[in-house]
Amino acid sequence: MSGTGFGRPPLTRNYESFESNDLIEMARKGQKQAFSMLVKRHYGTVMYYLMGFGIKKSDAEDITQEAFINAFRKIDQFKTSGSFVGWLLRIARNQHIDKLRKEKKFDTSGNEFDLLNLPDDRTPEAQVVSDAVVDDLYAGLKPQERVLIELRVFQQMPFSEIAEHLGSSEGNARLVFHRLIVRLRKKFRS
Amino acid sequence: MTDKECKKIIDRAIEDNKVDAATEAHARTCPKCASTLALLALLKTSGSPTSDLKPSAAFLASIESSLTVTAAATSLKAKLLAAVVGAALTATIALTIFSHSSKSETQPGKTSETTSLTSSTEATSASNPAKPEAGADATAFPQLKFPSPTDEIK
Repeated sequence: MSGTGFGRPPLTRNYESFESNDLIEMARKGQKQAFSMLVKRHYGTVMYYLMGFGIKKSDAEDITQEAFINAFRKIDQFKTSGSFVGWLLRIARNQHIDKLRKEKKFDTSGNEFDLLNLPDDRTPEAQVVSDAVVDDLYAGLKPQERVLIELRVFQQMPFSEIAEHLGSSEGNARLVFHRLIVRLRKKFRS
Repeated sequence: MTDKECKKIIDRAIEDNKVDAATEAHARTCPKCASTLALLALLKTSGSPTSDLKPSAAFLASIESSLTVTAAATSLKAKLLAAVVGAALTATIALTIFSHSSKSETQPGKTSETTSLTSSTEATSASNPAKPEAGADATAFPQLKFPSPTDEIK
């Protein structure tokens, strides 16, 4: 990075300690490092979200990159009253749909997720390994389940909004979340 | 308490991001909810399940270089806009000054423009041809004529 960038913050600034809203404000003023911190924070969520659509990791990474660049371009349009992660996921999904349209693979009839029948693309070996790590609660979670926990527990997103992002009904999102909690609770107890 | 009510309690605890007194009291009597709340606390402390995926250095470098291009374009746009606004403002001010100076040139009696309200009003009145000036012929203007109160008696 060049040392003469616009709005360049002091080099000693530790972005990790900042709240997301502060980072967004800084990114609006053109501070790339602040936006890079947002990228680091939400990269996993966007990646798992896209992988939940059955997208390969390498393709998901390309879409994630485009989504973040787009988000930086449009950061002035983001309303701080809303969820930044939700906004990011919306951009990522649109990016994914655009890519499919370009490749003429976009099927408008069946683009909804069925949360109850999530694809599990892990190899049997990976499943065995995941199940063996009982103390790791997250091991064995499918991408969509990880996103569900992130959005609900960590972002405190309402089920209506989660359902919108996951292409499901509110009731379905609620049901899947509570089933997931029961599963994790059992694992936790054991 | 039913399962549905337990779910509501858990949902409230998640949405509020804290456990209130009522939830705490309920958790003392409901081992399921107590266990769920403990699990949620553990999840919160251990971090998000999506945080195990970290961007590679190459990914971040690629993003940052794209951001530089985007931000440079934005900055250029802003500078260009500022320049256009500045030029427009300068032109407006110049035009205003020019029009004022040409106005004062056409009124030789007036040497300077005063800023006081009274003087300004006087100046406006002076330039207003509809207002009769002191000493001017009053008969030149239409006069209203009312009947005299004594007319009726006559």
